[in-house]
Parts: sequence; structure tokens; C-alpha cells
Amino acid sequence: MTRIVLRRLAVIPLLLWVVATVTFAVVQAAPGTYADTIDNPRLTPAARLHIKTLYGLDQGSFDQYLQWLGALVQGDLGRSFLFKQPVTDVITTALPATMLLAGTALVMDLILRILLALISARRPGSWVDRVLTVLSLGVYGLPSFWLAGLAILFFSLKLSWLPASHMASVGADGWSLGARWVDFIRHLILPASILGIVGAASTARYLRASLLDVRKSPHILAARARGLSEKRILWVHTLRPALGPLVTLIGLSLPILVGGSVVVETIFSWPGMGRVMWQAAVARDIPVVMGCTLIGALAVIIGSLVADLLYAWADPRVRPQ
Amino acid sequence: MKRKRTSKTRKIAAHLGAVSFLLLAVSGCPRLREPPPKTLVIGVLADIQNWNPYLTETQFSEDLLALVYPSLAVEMPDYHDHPPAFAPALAQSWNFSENGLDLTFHLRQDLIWSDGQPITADDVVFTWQAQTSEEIGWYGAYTKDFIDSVEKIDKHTVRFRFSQMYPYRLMDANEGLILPAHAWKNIPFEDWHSTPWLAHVIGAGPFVPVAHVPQQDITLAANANYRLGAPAKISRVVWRIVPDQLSLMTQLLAGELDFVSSIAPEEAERIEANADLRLIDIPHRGYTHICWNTTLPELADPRVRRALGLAINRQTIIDTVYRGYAQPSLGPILSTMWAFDTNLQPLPYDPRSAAELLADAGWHDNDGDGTLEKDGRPLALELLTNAENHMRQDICMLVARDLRAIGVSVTPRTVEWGTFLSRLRAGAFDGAVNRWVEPTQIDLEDVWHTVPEGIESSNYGRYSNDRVDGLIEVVNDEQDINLKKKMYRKIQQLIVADQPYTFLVEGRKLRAISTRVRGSIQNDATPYFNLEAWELP
Amino acid sequence: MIARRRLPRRLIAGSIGLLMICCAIILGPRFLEPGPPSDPAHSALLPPGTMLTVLELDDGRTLVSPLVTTVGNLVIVDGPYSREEIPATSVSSRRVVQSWLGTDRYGRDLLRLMLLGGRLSLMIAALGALVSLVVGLAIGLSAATGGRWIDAVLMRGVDAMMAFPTLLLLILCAAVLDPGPATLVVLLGLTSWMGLARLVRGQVLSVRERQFVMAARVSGTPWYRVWSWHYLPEIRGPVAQDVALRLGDLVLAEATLSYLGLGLPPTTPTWGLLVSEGHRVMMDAWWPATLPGLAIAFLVICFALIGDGIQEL
Repeated sequence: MTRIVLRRLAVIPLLLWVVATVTFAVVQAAPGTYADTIDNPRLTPAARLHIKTLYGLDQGSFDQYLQWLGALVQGDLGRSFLFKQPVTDVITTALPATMLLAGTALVMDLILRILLALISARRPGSWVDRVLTVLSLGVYGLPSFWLAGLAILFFSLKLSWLPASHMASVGADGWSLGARWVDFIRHLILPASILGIVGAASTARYLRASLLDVRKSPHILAARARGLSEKRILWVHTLRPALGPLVTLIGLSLPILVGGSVVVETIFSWPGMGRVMWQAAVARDIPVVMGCTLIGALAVIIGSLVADLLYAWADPRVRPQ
Repeated sequence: MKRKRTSKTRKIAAHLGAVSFLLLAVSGCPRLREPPPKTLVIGVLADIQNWNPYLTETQFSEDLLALVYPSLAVEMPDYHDHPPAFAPALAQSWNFSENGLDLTFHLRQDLIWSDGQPITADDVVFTWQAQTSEEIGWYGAYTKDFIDSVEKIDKHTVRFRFSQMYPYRLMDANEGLILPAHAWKNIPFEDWHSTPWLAHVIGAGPFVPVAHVPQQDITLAANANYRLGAPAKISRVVWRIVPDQLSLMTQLLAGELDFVSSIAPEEAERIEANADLRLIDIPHRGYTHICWNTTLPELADPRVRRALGLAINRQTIIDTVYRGYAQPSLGPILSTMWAFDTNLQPLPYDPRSAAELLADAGWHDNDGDGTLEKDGRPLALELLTNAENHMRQDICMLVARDLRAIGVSVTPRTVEWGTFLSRLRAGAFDGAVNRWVEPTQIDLEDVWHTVPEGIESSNYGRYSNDRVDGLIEVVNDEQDINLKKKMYRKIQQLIVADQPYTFLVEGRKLRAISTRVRGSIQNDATPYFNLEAWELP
Repeated sequence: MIARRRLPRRLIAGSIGLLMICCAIILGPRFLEPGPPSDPAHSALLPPGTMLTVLELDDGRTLVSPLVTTVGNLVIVDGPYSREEIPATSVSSRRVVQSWLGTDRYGRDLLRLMLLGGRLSLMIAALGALVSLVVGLAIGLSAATGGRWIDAVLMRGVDAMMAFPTLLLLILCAAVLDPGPATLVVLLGLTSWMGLARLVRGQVLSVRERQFVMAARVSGTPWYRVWSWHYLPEIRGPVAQDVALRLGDLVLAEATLSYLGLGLPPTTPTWGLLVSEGHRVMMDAWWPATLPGLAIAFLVICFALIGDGIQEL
């Protein structure tokens, strides 16, 4: 097993190089450069050409690629055209924000999913089960940007309960630590809920199915025969075996923890990786695009490795001989 | 059995209790605390790029930095009435030499930087060095091309020496904000791109930056050492960056923002209905048009282009897309400008004449399929616009509908911004819905002058008219304002007769401001024109 | 006696729902009377149930408005933003139509748009799922049966594909290629086959090790028979379920792409495009976004129920 893991780890640089090269090629193929995308009416065509030259965008694609690669092996990810900062700074500012948001959403997702599945599985086929299934599928089926917009209109405009965007209120830097924390949590609730609820709504029924499978198994019957309470049976004997696949979720969620969600981050003005990636792609900010691609690719590869390991641990049949 | 039911009821009660507790906790006051008094909150769509004025390219960065750094003179906002004129700022007066090649500025003696140091001629000289430095690579350096040298005559006198006479000497000399030499001259120019400038900002404007949370908030505070005018009445201004338009509107309507300068016409009604907000409606220096590719055989004939213009109902566009906040655009010069030809007639909405013109030009519907043909080729055009702008997409749809009614088959196509610009520059389009935002100084060369093959310019449709070229080449040097006006009138008449563009509308700029803010003067120069004079209760 | 297995209720419910949608989409436009042409000046954003008057004029124009009054010999046509007065003599024909679901911002009838758009949405989702299915099956099966090296290479290929920043690629590909239905189908298909490939590989691997399968392999049964008798029946269930869910996902993905401006041009309506256009006017009118949104949700629910039902089979 260790050998296999090591082999997969050894392949990572190659994979990253392939992903980076193809991405670079696609970015170069896309029409327009950073200089063209700047929205400033005072920029004359000559000025745009000047900016293009300043950032080395007038050179051939291959030359630019070699330059980027050369800097990369020395540990330099370059400087963002759009944000005017080193790419590492851009990422180190955006990554924690995304991890906070996606992490909270993941926790909410897990908790909600377990709750929904348990409630459904207790009485399969009852009206509660059916209503919950249809309701959660409905929530999943509504486009997330629309849900987000609706949530803002309702909770922010109509009810004034929760803030519509940002991570902190105006002037919050002058408040006490406790007040700042509460403020931050209030800002986190809406975006994390949208992500978490939609995630839970879409997959709760898998957990429900697993739970139902487990309930049919003989050792549950034996537990009932032994006289254990329904509650104990539910929580201890039914839930635990079905948690296996849930754990692989953590590995598979790594990409989202790192990549963020463009739609939610833009609507809620959350300064995360998803939003940065989107802005950089639209503005053809090549250094940031490449930096985010590398980080995102790394997250996906490691995440899938973790997920595979957990899956193999859970199901011995899948282990390679 | 009974035990089960009671425990079940208890469980439900417990769950309901927990949920209601959560709801109560969350539903506290809308804001935990009120924002500190005398704070103005402005909502914007994008962040500032850099605190050094010569390292940024975006309009918003320039608008914001103009509040922090001084300039020699400020352009007066009445550019509609005459070519741009300047009011003293850092320089209290200036004069040209006899031969016109020397421009000497006399600086005010009482002005200081925000750290207390006096502003001297050294700052102006240093600024010029930075503006023209290749390592810094400012995109506006071309405005200094004709300036040979900038010399300090004495502590408060600076002389600009030009290499030749031309009409924009004052404008070019004044271009760019003045930097604090005493603080910045120790940072070598080659390090400027990698220096974090927020820590080094020393300004002389009404505001100074106190905090910048990237992509979230920018906070400026009143500059205690501001001497150019009365000190700012508002002690703190916060810019909140909200990239989503719907979120921006929601926060504005909820009272969390005091000023938003980018309001779409469809939101105007809602703003007017809100008692706490006031809608500001000002003329805008832009006009939306359809640029036709005159190199295409279908569009090379000016009769065809005129017919297309006649068949489009501008009033519908003004009513539905702009909700009335626009006026028809008549020609290449904005109808609010001093050089506008008031005799120009708007192109009427006349589909019948349009059909006749097309028939004259040889386009007939021979096979009855609803589309006109000529020599076997159908009159089918692709109308291009960019995806980010919803109003332009709406215009595309309306135009397509109108033109289909006279037998021209129009396919609207939206592409992404970068693609849009590169297709425009490459001439890879039939018609494109675009908008020009005109500078305060009228300059028609870039867009209307003939462009030789292979050179890039803003004349996307490759329009060419020798008489227009000739007039453009001499009008800038003409000093007599009446002759200038006459020449501009002629240019406009020629261009309008040729219809290389279908001039659609001049949309107005809409802004929203909270009614608690007093004293703001709104014009098209910058959204923050007299921000130092704004007052909060 | 072999007990007849009852079809799971979920499968039945989902299939009925899907059938209803398909019928509505295919047959609906035929039964709708020719809808009014759009007239954005007078009939934009009208609520569901409005009665519209369609006036055809001599000069070829058509006006559609909810409020048309005749005063003397003038016909006054009122719209939300404008008002026109026309001599009564220039009206060549006049009829009244019902707008069941209201109109959108361009004055187009929403019911008609949804029926036409449903076709396109379903087609894009179905073709995208087909691409995803074909590629996923091929790669998954090859990886599971091809031996260790092929397995390693292909799975690393899957990793690489998954590692690609899909959104970025979609933005850039939408810029480079033509933003048409074909491009969208290919892009959606090529960015969603990875999960299926892993699933197929996992299932086939677990079947291969079973005793009777090993016996079949060792005893020289031709590969196609091994595949069709042993592998395909095993993966049929999970694959069908994945495809059913994939269909729902693709409909939602198309909606998000349209919202970001990467979808189809605005003239060809899909449900996703309708929702994203309606989202812009959400504060003024709820129906242009909500009704297509509910339609998408309904479709997703049907696909999910079918998928679950297949699993219960």
C-alpha cells in the first residue's frame, strides 16, 4: 500500500506540469490580453500597447511560457497584473477566506445531511420522509445563484436579520474581539448556509439509503431482540457503519475547500479563491490564473488520493493485489 | 407506548425550542452597533489597484487617488461649454513664455503634505522623473513626449520646457498627480512595482488612507493638513467593494450604503420610490452606437447603412432599455458639447423609407423567405456585443427585431469582453453594439481618421473619408474658436451623411445618494467631485 | 413461484414527471395558438394571467399591450413605459390572447419560451450526459480490465482531468470557440465524465475478483462475453443511476454558465438562460425567474427520483 501511495505522490509533479502547460496554452489561445480588458475610457490604443509591452505580453506564447516556468522552478509565481501584488500574496489572502467559508459549509453539510437522513430513515415511506425528500431535491434543483439572490432579498432586505455581503461590518475594526466574532459569524451564515444546505439537500438521500440498508441487516435485528432502545440502535448501530462513505467526502471536498464557489463568493462579496480565479480569467491575468490552477490541481490530486485511500480501506475488494 | 409518545413530544419540543432560540439570537438588531458617527459609506464594484498613481490603470483607482494626491491645476467641470479650462490648485498661477515653449508654474507657498513637510518644486520635478521613467512604465507617459525638461527655478517655481508648439501644452504638463519627493525619492524606480505603497502614502488632498482590506473595504479619513481648501466635513469615508449588482442594490435600499455611482436605469424607479434615497441624473460623456464594418460588401454602400439606421426605433430603446434616461445620439460629438452641430437632424424612425432605400441599393426579397437578397447573397448580419453588459444585449435584441421587420436577417451574438475587443480590433465583425466614453477634450482622430491596413486603431469599422481626414488634421491646431466650431460642424455633417455608425443613444449617468448627505455637487468629471464638502447630520 | 418485484414508487413517480415534461415540451407548442410577437415597449414584465391585445397596423408593425382603449377615432396603446396614440383607421386587425405565465423583460410570452426552452435544455443535458457516459464507460472499463499499467496511466489521466480548473477552462473555451449548443454539450460532457469513470472502474474491479468471474476469465471466455455477461449487468445499475443524476446536474450547470455569461446567446432560450435573465429583474417581477427555476427543480427532482428508483431495483 505504501508503495502505491508513494508512486502516486511521485507522479504529482508530472501531472501538475501537464495541467499547467495545457492551461497556459488555453489562456494564450483566448483572445485578448490583460491590456485589452482594462475598463478605463482614458486608455488609448497606444497606451494599451504600452501596457502590453510592460507586462511582457507582446512576446511569443512559448517565450512567455518558458519565462513563467523558469520563474516557477525558482519558487516565484510571478506578479498579478490585476491586483498588482505577488501571486503568493493574492493566494495567501484569498485561500483562508475560502477555507473558512467552504469549511463551515462542509460542517453544516455533514450535520444537516446526517439529520435529514436520520429523520427520513426512521420511518421510511412516511409522509415526513416523502416531504423531506421532495423538499430537499427541490432545494438542490433550484439554481444556486437564484437561491442566493432570494436569500439576500429575504433575509437582508426584507427582514434585516443578516448582512448581505462582506466578512465584517463597516467600522468593525474598532470593536471588541467578542463583538467582531459575532459580527463575523453573522456574515458567514448566509453564504455558508447556501453552500451547505444545497450540498446536504442533494446527497442526504444516499445516506438515507445506506441507513436503510444497514437497518435491514441481521445485526440490527439482533440488537432489537436484545432489547436495546430505538434511539441507541439508530445512533450507534445504524449510523456508524453508514458513515464510511461520508468520510471519503472529506477527501473529495478538498478541491472545493481550495477552489471556492465563484457564484456564492461573487454574490456575497466574499474575497475567496473562486472570485479571484474568475476575475483573473476574465482579465486574462495570467500569473494569477496559473497560480490558482496549480494550487487547485494540487488540491484535487491530493484530495482524490485521500478519497481513494479511504475507499480502499473501507472496501477491501477494491485494493489492488 | 405512552412513554414513547411523551419522549417523542419532548423531543419535538426540544427541537422547536432550539430552533426558536437560534432565530431569536440571529434576529437581533440589523447592525450590532451603528457605524461610527460622521462616516460615509460608498458602494463600488471593484477595488483600487495600487496606492501609487503611476502603477494603476483603472478608472476607479484614478478617481480615488485624486482625493489623496494634489495636482498642479484642476480641470473645470464645464467642459461642455468650451474646450477644457483649468483652475489653480497646487499652482496658484502659470504663464507661457514669449515663444510659447516655456510654461512656468508658480506654486502656492503655504501648502504642506499630510506629514507636515512643505510642497515644493522638487516634488514637481521628481514627479516628472517618475512619470517618464521606463522602469515604472506609466501608460500615460506619452503625454510628456513633447516636454524636454522640467526645471526647478526656485523653491516654488517650476518651468516646463516644450520641444514644440501645440495646443495641449497646459493639459499635458498638468497630467498626473504630484508625488512627495522627500518621502519617495529614496525608493529606486526599479523597486516601485514591488513596493507595498499603502505604507508610503503621503498626500495633500482632502483625504488620506487609513485602512485597506483588499477586495473588501477602503477607508479614507479627513486630512488634518489639508490647506488647498476647507477641511473635509466628513471625518471618515468607507468604500465597500460589492462586485454583484443585485447585492449592491439590496444594500443601498436597506440603508447600508450612502452613495452608489453605478445605477442601472431599471433600478431608477425603485430608488425614486425610496424615501431615504435621492436619484441623481446627469449627462454622461458616452454614446452607444452600432459600429458597422464598412469593408464588408453588404455594408460598404452608405445607402444600406442609412436604411439600417432608419429602420431602428430609437425611442423604444430609450423607453425600454434606458427607461427614459437617455436622449438620441445624433453624431460623433455629444449633443451636450460646445462643438455640437445644433442643426443636425435626428434620423427618424421610418421603416418604409428604409425599405425603399434598400430596394434602391439593389436588395430585394426574390424568394419570399422574408430576407432580402442581392446577387444571390442574403442580407444577413451578425450583431456583436459583450456579455457583461446587459443593456447592450437588450439593445441587440431590439435592433434585431426592428431590422428583421424590413427583411434584414440579424443574429445577435454575445461574447466575452476580451474576445469582443479583440474581434473589434481585428475587424472580425459585421456590426457591433459598443459605447464610446468621450474625453473632455474633443479628439476625433482615433476613431474617424482613415487607418492604413495593418495598423491598430479605434476606427474598428475602417471608415474612410478624405474630406473628414483633412478637416481632422487641421482642426486641432486652429486657435479661433469660431473657426473650430465651423470645422467640427462640417465633420459632423459629413460623418452623419455617411452613417458609418448608427448613432443610437446618449445614456445618462444615474447615481443614488442618501438623503442624509448634504452638499454634494454631482457632475460627470468624477463621482467624488467635492467629497470634502459633503456633510452628514 | 417467482414473486413479482414491484417497481419502486420513486421510479414510477420520477418517470411520470419526466414523461409529463417531455409531453409538454414536444406537444405543447403545437397546441398553443400562434403567440404574439414581442413588443418590449408595451408588454414587458406583465404578470401571469394578463390578457393581451394584439394590434396589427397597416405599416407592418405589431403592437401588443395589456391596455388598449379607443377614444374617438384614436386608439391608445398603453405600456409600462410608454404610451402611443394611433389613428383607428390604421389598425388592420385586432385580437386578444391570454398570457398564462406572463411576459419577460422583452415582452416575450413566458409559457412559449419555457416550452421552447425546455426542448433545448433537455437536449443539451441529454447529449452532454451521453458524451460523459461514452467517455466515462470507455475509460473506466479500460482501466479496470487493461492491467496495472493502463490502470495507473488512465487513472492519473482522470486525476489530471479533474485537476483542471473547469470554470477557467469554460470561460476560456467560451472565448475561443463559438458559444453554441454544440460547444456547450462538448464542454459539459468533457468536464463531467470523471466520476463515472472512477465508479465504473471500482465496480468492475470488485466484480473481477469474484470466483465465477475469475473462472470465466481463466477458462478462455472471449472478452466481449465476459463484459456483457458479467461486467455490464453489474455496472448497469450504478451507471444508470449516475447518468440520471448527471442529467439533473447538467441542467443546473447550464443555468450557472448562463448566469456567468458563458452560455448560449440570448436569442435561444434555455431554462437556465431564462432563470439568469429573470434573476436580473427579480426585484420587479418574480415570475421570469421563479417559473423556469421551478421547472428546472422539477426536472432535477424527476431525474433524481428515477436514479434512486433504479438503485432500488
